[in-house]
Amino acid sequence: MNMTDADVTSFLEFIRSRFHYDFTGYAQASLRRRLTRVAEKFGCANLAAMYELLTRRPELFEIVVPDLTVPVSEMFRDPSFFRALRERVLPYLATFPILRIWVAGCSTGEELYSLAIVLAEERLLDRAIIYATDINPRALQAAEAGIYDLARVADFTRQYQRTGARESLSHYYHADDKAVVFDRGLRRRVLFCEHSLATDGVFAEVQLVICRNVLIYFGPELQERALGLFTDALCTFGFLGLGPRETLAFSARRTAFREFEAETRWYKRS
Amino acid sequence: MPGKGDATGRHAMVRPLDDASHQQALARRLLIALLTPVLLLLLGGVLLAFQLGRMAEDAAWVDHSQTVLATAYDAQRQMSDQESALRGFLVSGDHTYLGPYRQARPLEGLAHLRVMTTDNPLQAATAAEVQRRYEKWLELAASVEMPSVDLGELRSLDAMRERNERMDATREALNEFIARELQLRVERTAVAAGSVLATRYALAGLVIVLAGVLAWLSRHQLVAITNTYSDALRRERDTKTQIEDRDWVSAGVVALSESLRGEFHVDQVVERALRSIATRLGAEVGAGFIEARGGWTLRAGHGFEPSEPLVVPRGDGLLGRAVTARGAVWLDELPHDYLRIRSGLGDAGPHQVVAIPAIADDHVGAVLELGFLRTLTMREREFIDRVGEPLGVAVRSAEYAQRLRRLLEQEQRHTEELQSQQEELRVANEELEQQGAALREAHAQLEERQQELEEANAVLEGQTLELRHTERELATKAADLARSSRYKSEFLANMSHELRTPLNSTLILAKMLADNEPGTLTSEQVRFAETIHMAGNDLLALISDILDLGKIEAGRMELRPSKTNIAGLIEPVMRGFEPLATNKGLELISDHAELREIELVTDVQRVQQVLKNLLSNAIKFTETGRVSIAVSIAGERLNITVEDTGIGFPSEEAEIIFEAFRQADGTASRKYGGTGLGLAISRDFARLLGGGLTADSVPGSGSSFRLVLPLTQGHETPIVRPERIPSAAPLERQAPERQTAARRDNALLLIVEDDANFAGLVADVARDLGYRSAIASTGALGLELAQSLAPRAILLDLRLPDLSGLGVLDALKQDQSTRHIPVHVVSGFDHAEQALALGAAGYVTKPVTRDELAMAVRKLESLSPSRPRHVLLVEDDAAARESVMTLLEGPDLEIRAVTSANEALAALREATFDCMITDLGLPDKSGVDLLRTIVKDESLAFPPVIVYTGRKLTEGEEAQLRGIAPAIILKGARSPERLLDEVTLFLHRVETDLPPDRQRMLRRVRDQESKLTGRSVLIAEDDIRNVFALTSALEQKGIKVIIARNGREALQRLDEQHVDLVLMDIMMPEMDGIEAMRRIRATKAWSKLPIIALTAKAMPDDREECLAAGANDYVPKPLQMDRLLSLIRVWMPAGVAS
Repeated sequence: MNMTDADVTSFLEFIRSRFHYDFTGYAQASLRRRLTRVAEKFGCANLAAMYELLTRRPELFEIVVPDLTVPVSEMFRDPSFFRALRERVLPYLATFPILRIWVAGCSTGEELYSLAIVLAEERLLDRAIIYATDINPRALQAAEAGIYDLARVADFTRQYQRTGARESLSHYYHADDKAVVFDRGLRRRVLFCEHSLATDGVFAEVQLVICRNVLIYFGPELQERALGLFTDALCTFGFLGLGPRETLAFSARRTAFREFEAETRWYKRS
Repeated sequence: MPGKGDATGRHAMVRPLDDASHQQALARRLLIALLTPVLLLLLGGVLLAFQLGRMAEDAAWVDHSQTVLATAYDAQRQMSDQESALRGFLVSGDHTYLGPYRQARPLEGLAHLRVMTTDNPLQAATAAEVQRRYEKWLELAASVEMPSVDLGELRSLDAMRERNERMDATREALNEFIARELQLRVERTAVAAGSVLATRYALAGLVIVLAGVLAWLSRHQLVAITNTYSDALRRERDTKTQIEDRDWVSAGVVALSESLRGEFHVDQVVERALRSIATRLGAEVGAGFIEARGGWTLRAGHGFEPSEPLVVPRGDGLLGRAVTARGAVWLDELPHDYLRIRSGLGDAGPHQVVAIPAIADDHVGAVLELGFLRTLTMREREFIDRVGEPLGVAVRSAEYAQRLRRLLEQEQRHTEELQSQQEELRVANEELEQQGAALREAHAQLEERQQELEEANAVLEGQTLELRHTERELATKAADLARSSRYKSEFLANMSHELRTPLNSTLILAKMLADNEPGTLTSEQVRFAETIHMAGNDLLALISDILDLGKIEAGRMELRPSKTNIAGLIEPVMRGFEPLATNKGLELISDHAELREIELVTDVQRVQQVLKNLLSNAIKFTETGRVSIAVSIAGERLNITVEDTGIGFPSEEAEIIFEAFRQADGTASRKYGGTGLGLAISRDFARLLGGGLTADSVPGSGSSFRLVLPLTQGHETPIVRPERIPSAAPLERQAPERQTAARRDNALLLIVEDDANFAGLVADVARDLGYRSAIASTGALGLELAQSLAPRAILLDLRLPDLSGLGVLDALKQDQSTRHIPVHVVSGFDHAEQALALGAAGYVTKPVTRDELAMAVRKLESLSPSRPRHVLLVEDDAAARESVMTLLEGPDLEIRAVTSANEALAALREATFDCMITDLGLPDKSGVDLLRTIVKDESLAFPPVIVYTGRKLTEGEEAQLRGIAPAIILKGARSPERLLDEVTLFLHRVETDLPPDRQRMLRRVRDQESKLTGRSVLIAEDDIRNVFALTSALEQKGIKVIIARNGREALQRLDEQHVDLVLMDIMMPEMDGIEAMRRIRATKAWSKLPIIALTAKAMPDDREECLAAGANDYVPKPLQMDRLLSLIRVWMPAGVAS
């Protein structure tokens, strides 16, 4: 599909003005691929046709968003990250009387439930307030429902066991023959909110920010903006957990943090 | 009819056993029908053949009789011929007559007869008789042949008779035989004729019987065959109906499968299946359920609109039974009100309801329920039984497909993510490569540099070697010199001290004697005593000189600079020497009148000592003429020249005269007296004061000594690296080995001192101790450098040209970025107490010795990197107290541990602390109360507080505490680490905020705007930071602040008290701002309450949502206070504060 830079730019501008979703700061190459796929999915030959379609039927945008934002996630992804969370980060954070946590870009909630499970096992869930935010309302709905395909649970379980598990994962969900639903209790301390790292601001002081595999889709400026939000939101000695391919090394914000565990991408605010 | 053939074929296929038996029966019947006449015919044929055989036999017997008769007649004829022949011969005698006789052979015929009649003994016997009688004849006849025949005899009657007789007998027998044979032949002919007749009758009978049998058989078998055929036809008809039904069912199933073919969602599958089945069966209502949400969820409806999501619990009712049974379940007798099926004209209850489970692999994926107004036919029921499986398969396929789609999507996204990660890696890689390239370039440059440096190095190394050699020699010599010099100085210092002690008592006693109070001494004795006293004083002066020199050389000379003016410096000295000069008839003049009021800072005492020395020398060595003082100012320097018209000294001795214990002329001292130390001491003093002393002379015509002193030092060199100070101070000579003292990295000493010389001196000392130094000549510069350089320690002179030293100290201590730096105060003025009160680490007064300076710097060093930090620890549990103290223990930390709230208050009253750590559970008062007391009591300094507690806190408690204590730590496994972090942070944090007490002072300056003062604002906000930022900003304006942490609390607060305005955060736990605003607006009393929404989101939609929910206005985070305040002013309703 032919797609000039100008096409992409004007299409993203259209999305921004019409739907208030700002993808302009996203990493271009990846966004381009996703735009191509979305256009193909709707049978549009080019972005102009896509523009036409969305102008005529704006309600379709709800379906477009998830395709543009890559809501992919799995539970206990990179078990070593969660192991470090459990063994090193949380014992420190346990000294805060109330633990406010921001899961930025929570997508369909896999990471959120993983976090909630670890918190519950470390007996911190009752003292925590978790802000789960995402730009995509459908993903948030899915996160709030906490229902996952049964076929994925085997993988979840394997990953979970490598995080220093204290229970069987089945302790936390109820399964029928197609899907599992995670315990309502895991989200009793969670606040689901739409929030865009591209346009919105800091909303609370938090002790822990987890934002994994979100920044990789952002361009350098947007990355910097998001990291700025995390820096401002975190209290002194708060923690920031990033995805395995994300780093503070190229950010101006690195001075506000020190590496707590470099290999698992844990940073401590100083 | 091809259809029929088909049907038969299908029938055969369907029921092969029946058909085979049927055919067998038919064949059997056909066989019987065919075999019976054949068997009968065979039987008849056999009988006929037998009869024909009999007939042929009978005919043969007739033939036989014929043959026998013919043979008999032949024999008769031959016998007759023989007889005739014989008679002819006998008559004629001619032998030719005998020819027939000889040819005839009756005997052969007769033998043949016998053979032929062996079957009939009577005839055989007769034949034999014939033969015998013929042979008897023949015996007679045969004699004819005999040669000796007597014809005559033969011709005789007798012979004739005899032959006749015999022939007749033979004939008779033969006739009897023929007669009998004829009789036989008649009999046999009759028998043969009877046999033919019998055969004819038999044949006719056979035909008749056969026809009868055939007729009977055929009828019977045909009836049977007809029956079989009509049976078969009937069966075939049945089969056809069955096949049609089956076709109908199959077609339905096929149609269903057709409709389910393609990629559908499970819901669609159920819906399409329902439509297809319901349409085919003409069902009035139908519903499709799939398994979800823990039960059977209604997903499709036929004949009614599913109004709301219906979930039938698993195992319940018809559906459950159908699922359990794994097959369709019927409900026939339905209650009247089971379900009403409506049409435009009326409604009716369904007659029959069926639940059909969709089964695949014994798993039920969906259930359809159908309702009918009629009873279903068998084939419809069969159809229903048959649809479960294809439907189950379709549902399962749809599920699989769905799962596959999901997996595929997930896979695609994974791929996407991977690609993004690759992208990111690539970008990171590029960045790294760029950085790498830059580094390589830098590296190349560095290498180039390094080569240059190496070259230079090599050159330098050569020089260094030489230098080192020289240096070593010098060092050895210098060490020798220094040693001897030190010994000398020490000796002098000790000696003078030792001398002064006995001298003191001598002087006191001499003075007492000279005073002669008892009046017991003569005037002579009094004069002696006065002489002793005077001489002792001289001795004391000498010793003082020696002592001064010794002190200077030992680096222990103290300078006491103070502010003065030129008049105050010179005039008292001149006044002291005027009588002496007058006595000697010398003129003593000075030209300083115009410069009298010029101010300078210096050690007045020492300068005057120098002047005294110079004047006394001048007067001493001048017999006639005058001694004049010339004062001038050159730049920042004061020149005082003392000139005389005395003996002078050779110019080459101009330096020697300054050396201790030497004078220009060894004899001079003897002639004029004096120690010869004066000039040496004077020059040392001058240098110590930052100036110098030089001499010039023409022997015989007088000499001139010029004292140069700094007037206002240091302005031209704000920062002077001590290394670069061309130090003229004698101290420079001191102990070269100390120069090698280890360097301390970053150990920077800031010297705030306007006296460049003194500053240089301090810098020297600092360098010896391994410090780098920076010198600030003014207070302002000192403050600036203290902030920018962050020195390890500060040495502060209290007397500065621009600011008061105490002012600088206070400013240093007020500034969070510099308050931790230890400050040592050096001054000529005695402000020790104030300085220490302001936070100085130590205090020395000028003049100060090198040792004292060194001690001061060392003390600062011991305080480094910071002055002692005072931590107040409030903890009643001894073990906990001990552990915290051990944890925090450090050289720069002083921990004051108290066990109760009251002790803590007492401690806070006594001293200032940098940080306070408190437990919440205290024996006399709760920690929270303690903190509240401290906050309220304005007289108490309020350090940053760390709450260190084992108790869990509610959100409310936390919010309350967070206003007072910046850090709250719950005890746990990692709490020591966190405590250490927080304490370190508070003790060393570079805060941009003012100290809390300052903030409080500011807060007291209330905003006088009457519109806001006394009004109450409800802040509904979950973020603690914002709450306190808002609280302090609003309280400054005199606004009463009420806090709620979520929407629910906000509503409660509104219920409890009067609120003028609400600041409403949107993202809050429990109940968010939108919901809270809606509820507020729903209450009539609050419909006019101004609400300003605070939100982190920037979307115009959110703004609209806020306004729609009832907000009057909207302010985005991060909050800008002035903007918010103006909004509050805008929306604050006019009216009297409540």
